[in-house]
Amino acid sequence: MSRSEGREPLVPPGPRREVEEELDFHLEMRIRQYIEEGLTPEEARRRALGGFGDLPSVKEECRTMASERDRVRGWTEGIDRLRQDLHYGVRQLRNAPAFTAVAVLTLALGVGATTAIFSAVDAVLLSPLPYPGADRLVVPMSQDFETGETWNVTYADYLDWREAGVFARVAVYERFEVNVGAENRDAERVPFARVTEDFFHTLGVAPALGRLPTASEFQPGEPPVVIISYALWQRSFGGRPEAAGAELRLGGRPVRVIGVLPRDLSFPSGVDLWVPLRVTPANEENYRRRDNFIVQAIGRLAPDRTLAQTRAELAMLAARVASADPAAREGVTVTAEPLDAWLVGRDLSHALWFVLGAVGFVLLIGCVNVANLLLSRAAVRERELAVRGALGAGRGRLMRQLLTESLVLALVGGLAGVALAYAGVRVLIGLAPANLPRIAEAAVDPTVLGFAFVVSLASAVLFGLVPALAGSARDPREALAEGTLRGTAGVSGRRSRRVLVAVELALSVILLVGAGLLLRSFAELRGTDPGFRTGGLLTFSLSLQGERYREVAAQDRAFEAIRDRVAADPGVEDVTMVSSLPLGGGGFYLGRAFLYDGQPEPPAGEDLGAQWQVVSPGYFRTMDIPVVAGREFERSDGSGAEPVAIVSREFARRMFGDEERALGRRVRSWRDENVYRRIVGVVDDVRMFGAGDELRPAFYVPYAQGAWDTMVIVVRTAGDPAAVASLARAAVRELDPTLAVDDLQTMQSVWDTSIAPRRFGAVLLAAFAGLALVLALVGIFGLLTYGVSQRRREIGIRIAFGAARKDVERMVLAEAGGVVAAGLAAGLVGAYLLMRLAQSLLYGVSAADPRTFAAVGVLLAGTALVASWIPAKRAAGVDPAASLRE
Amino acid sequence: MATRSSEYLRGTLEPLILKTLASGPLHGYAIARWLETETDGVLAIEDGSLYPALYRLERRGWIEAKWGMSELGRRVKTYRLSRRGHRELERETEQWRRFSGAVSRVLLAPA
Repeated sequence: MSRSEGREPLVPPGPRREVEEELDFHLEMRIRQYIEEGLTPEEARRRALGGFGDLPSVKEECRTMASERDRVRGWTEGIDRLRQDLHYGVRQLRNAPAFTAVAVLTLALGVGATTAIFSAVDAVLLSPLPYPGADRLVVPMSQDFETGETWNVTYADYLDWREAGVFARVAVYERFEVNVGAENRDAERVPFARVTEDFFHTLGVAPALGRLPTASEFQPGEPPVVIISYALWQRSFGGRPEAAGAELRLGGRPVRVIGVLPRDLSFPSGVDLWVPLRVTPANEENYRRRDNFIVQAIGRLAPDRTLAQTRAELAMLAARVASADPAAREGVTVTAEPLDAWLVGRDLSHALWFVLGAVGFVLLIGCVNVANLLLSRAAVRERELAVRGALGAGRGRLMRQLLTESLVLALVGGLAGVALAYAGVRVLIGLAPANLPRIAEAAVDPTVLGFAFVVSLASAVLFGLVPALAGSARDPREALAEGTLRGTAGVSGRRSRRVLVAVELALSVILLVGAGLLLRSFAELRGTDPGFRTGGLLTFSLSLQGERYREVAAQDRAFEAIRDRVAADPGVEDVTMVSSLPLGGGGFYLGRAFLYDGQPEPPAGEDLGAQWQVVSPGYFRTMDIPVVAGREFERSDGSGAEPVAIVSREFARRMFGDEERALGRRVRSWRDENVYRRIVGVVDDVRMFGAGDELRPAFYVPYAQGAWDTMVIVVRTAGDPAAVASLARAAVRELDPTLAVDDLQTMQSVWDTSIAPRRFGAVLLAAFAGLALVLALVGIFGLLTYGVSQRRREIGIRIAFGAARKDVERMVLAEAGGVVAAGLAAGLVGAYLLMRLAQSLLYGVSAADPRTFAAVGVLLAGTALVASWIPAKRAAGVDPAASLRE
Repeated sequence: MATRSSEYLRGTLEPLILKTLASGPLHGYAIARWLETETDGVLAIEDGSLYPALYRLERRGWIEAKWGMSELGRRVKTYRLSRRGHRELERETEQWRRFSGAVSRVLLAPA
């Protein structure tokens, strides 16, 4: 029996009516029965009622049970419906595999990429350092008033801060390296720090074993003591507790180990030994001078002071020093930076924030894409929904159905995203440059993952709900009529989808421009000339310490012997030495200040700062650094001959204007060596601290006229430089087994390390931009495809009335063109405005680089055209007869 | 006699209803009539206890109710046995067989 309008529904609403009606029926039947049996109507009625006894309480009992029944049934029916909805939803999604795949992928990337990147940023930038109250730790630094450049501080300043009580605690330290020997082990070269009294208290660390140095152990004349790192404890003592009290040989001298620091403590980074810094009459002068920036500092903010207040105090004290001793400190102030920011470095943290921003963009594009997909789908399903509505499915039921579908989508996408997050973090750790601190600790943060998961769920549900509301709010008759007669989907819906796609395109343009600029920066960087030939070079450093090398002649002989041994190998072309390698490859970097003959002293800021480089003859030839004027050092530039120097082109340019004028002039490092050296040559510039480094003046002196006990040996090889590594080790061991070979590396790996951070950023952003582009293209493809499929009738009519297929194609492409043009324009403007903020991340390319902008424009327009081509062709191929029959 | 039989009935009304429905769907009045005629009026079931029993069975899911049209064009609620009701009926029947057998063996044995 089918349902007809205007009659009461078959099922009485609610338990009350149900019971009432059922019992009424029963009574009526009984009365009829009794009358048939011969009773009068009154008697029949009385008897029927009597059968019930207390009728109201019977009804009450029935009603109670009916309500209970309904409640239980509500639950089971709800679960049943959910199962049905899920079943139906999964079937719907399986019927639209392209839609499902794109939506799931988008959501997965949103959740996965965001979580992975955020976890990395979290590990590097946001998770606290392993020191108690690390957010109060700051690094005081000297700073150039004009350029903002920062460097070390002086010991004398440190004494001022202590006296003035600027910090709760403050300490300074110096880093060195020393050859360490322990029982039965090869010597190793170990970085160590000389630290002042409050160093450990400032950091707030307690020893894992033994004790910290006492106050008296910071006084000169006390027996030497050392604190060792957890790692060195494991290496040298196998983690045995007897290490406290044992002896280590540092540079040949026995020193007592008094304590071991906890495992996670590594400050300054990489240091394995800490010894008390002792100011003795012999070195006092070094520490007293206001222009001897030889120590680094670490301070804990006073409890009642902010970073800004502390900076102001430091600046005030520095100003006092500058006015008292202008020769030493004119133009120099003192500032402080939070420890975590100082550790990560400004460039890297910028890069990470940049990448995080890019991820946010991708997530946004993803959400827009899912929204767009769901909206398009809702338009297509308008008829289906209308039909189902007309067939009696309630509005709530339809909405629930659509929501279930979105939820299934979001759940599948979200779960895929979780998997992606775990994989992504591993990829990031593998991809990250080695000098990114704490990246290895990066792990998927469950809170972040949960958050991203919920966001993806929410976005899918939200956008699933919008079409549900819009769809179910419509009069089914209208929707059906529109479907059959006009054949076009809601005009306003199409407009909002066009805007969404344009937004997607704009966001991907911004990302593409960012990626393009970073890639160009990386290419520029990789293309920079380091100033020498990096291939075929092996380097290692060697420190000649201890009794045996007290005489300079003994050092000379040792270096000479090692050089000869290595050079004897047929695979080796050349061997030379230098005090510090270019590209930040290691060694002792020393900045000194220079005046030429005739310049007044004190110079009032006119002295030229330059890197002091000690080299052996043949250095420039071995490194392949061109001599642009004059000559290279020769054996005749010995200790008895006239003091000579070679300067870099940048040095010559800044001090004398050009290289020719520099030749033959006399220059001195006026604050320390103070010996006039004659410039006999000018060499090309090298990048001192890394591939992207600015050109810095360099001042080279021959080893024979200024020997050092720590040098980097540079070996030029015919074949693979790494093959010579064991030879180098053997040569040193043969000469003196207590010497440690350190930093054995190829110059190529130094170069790679120096460009790694930019590669990391560029590759990441390029990946995101590519992703964004694909999503945006899917967006425009979807928009046009749905548009065409909905306008089949209209297109069919046009063709039937004689429109050329070319015109139809043009019509579809014109729609695409409008959207692409709007998105592209908005994106280029946005990129122009945003990229200016990222200028510091770029190298050798302007933030408004027209080539990059043009390339992105062409790329986007081209790919968008391709993505539009298929729907356009499909529109042109519409069969008018078939489309009208639909 | 009627009083006596209604005492015995107290625990067996529900299985009886289930048994009644085992042959096909019926409305409440028909159930009452069927039980009356089948038992020759020995088991006079009060209408006042029949309906609470029906609602109880329905709540437990042993019987299912459906509203339909009577031959006279009236809305009427008819009951039918559910799958769970069938199982319950078998269980109750087996129990009754054992109970009544035991009682009969004792009560009907020659003294």
